[in-house]
Amino acid sequence: MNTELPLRVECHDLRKVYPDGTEALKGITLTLTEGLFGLLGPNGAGKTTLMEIITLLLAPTSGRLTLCGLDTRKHETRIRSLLGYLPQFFGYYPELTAQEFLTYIGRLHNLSRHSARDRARDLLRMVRLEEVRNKRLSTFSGGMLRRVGIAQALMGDPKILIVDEPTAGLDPEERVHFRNDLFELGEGRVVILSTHIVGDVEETCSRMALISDGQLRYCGSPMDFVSPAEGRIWEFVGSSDDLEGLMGQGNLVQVREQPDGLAFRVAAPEPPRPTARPVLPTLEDAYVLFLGGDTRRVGSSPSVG
Amino acid sequence: MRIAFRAVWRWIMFLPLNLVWYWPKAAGRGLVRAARATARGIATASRRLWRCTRYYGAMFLYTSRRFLRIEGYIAIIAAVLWLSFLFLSYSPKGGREILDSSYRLFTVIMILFTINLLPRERDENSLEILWSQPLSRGGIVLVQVLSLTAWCGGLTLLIFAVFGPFLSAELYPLWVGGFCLSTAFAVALITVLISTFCRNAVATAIVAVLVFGIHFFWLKEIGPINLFFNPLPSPVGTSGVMDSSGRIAIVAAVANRLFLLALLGFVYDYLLRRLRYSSVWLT
Repeated sequence: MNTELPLRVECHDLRKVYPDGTEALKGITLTLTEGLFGLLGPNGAGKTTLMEIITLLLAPTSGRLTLCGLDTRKHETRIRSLLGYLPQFFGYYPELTAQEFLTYIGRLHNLSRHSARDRARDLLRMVRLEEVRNKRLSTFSGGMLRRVGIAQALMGDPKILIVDEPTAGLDPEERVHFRNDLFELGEGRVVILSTHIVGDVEETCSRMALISDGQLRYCGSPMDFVSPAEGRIWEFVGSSDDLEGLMGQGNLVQVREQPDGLAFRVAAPEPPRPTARPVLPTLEDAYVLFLGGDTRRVGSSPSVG
Repeated sequence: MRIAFRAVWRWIMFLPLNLVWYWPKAAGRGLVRAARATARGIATASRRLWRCTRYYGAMFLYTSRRFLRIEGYIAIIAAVLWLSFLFLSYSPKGGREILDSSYRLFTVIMILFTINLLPRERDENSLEILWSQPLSRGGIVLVQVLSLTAWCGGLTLLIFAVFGPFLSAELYPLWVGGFCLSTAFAVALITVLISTFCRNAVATAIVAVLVFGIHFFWLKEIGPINLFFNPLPSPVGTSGVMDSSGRIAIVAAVANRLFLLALLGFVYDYLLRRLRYSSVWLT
């Protein structure tokens, strides 16, 4: 029955005001379809609030949300059975083993004991944890727990998978593994990857959105997001005096030490120094340029919504 | 008529509901509507429970496993010892003392069981995982509370099985068991509600002990609207024969439990609101 549902998440003018008056979302309108979708934004931008609203953990103050064509106000329980969620801070039961934990989650998805056990074993194999399935979760490393987290999110074979900051705190190898896993999961479902790590979106997502200050600032492909930054990213070699000056401007993308001084990578409409040379922009460059204050020019070219 | 109903209802509900900040709304509903809503709620919950026995059954097992750790085992051992002492000491005198003491005991047990029920899930960040599953939040909390109450029930049965032969009246198990368990469930549900206002288990325990302590010791004389109502007259206990005072006691007991049911309906309703709309509490 679920296969007939359209793979689509539609947010229409979603607003969220917390009881203390904080306006976390200021009218987000967004449509997501099959595949991996990156949700970028600085800390405190409203990403987690949006994720929690999409996972039905929070109720929006106003606006409408439909998942797979079902209105969240009318089909809450059914929608939950279509959702898989890996929260930013993955909570687990330390006294349970990986197998027990996943079996429990499977049972909560109304699987029989036998089916839940088999499904748990399959998923643990998929996330390369089959060998440690009978060890307690309290003994797992951060990366292993994240993989358990993604396995529990997949327990109900969700049509919409939401992962919130999944690679935060992982070592580089784990991060690469995790990105690959996510990429594979994008087939046949909507995967929403919320992160402030630009590299994750750059490596895995074909579409992305940028949220800042509770507002949707961009929605489209990463390539389109980067293109307005072309000719506005500069590299030059300078000294520590330059560093102090650039730090205050908020457009410094990267600085690294070189034998002849400090190499700066700067996002700016004009060359910051006469010796600066233009370089090809990356998503991170465009992101810094965007959030550095010059949002008008970059934000106006790609389509929003 | 409606005004009279409302006035009586407000008067009846004032004291206990004021403790959970809910009396103005409850008083405005009216007796008939409240009773209907409660009955409808119970019917719906029963239907859902029946339909969802599979995952709620799993949750029952895992809740028992998770929450019967150190404090659970301490509570069980203490309960067995205390109940054994009670039955050996008071059964010749009558059920009244047993019921009173059992109330105290089960109140402490249920507070111990439930102070950490939601705070622990919240602190371990597992609440988000649990609430993103295809289950209702009310159902999740209700099954967890029922699981713990069932442990109390099991404990009571165990004690009756062991000490049954020493009891002087066959009525005892029904009275004591029925009253203790329904009160234990109410204590558990109210403690869970209190825990949604407190930041940790210790604060919850202090508030719960205060609330139930005041209720038990100071409001005992309010009779049939007392959570810890004790309808057992001593003669029933000693003779084992049902006389007129026994029949009056039954009527009072039924009225008291009906009141308890209504109170639980409001507590559950308010708890659902807290769980649903309080995002600050969740995180």
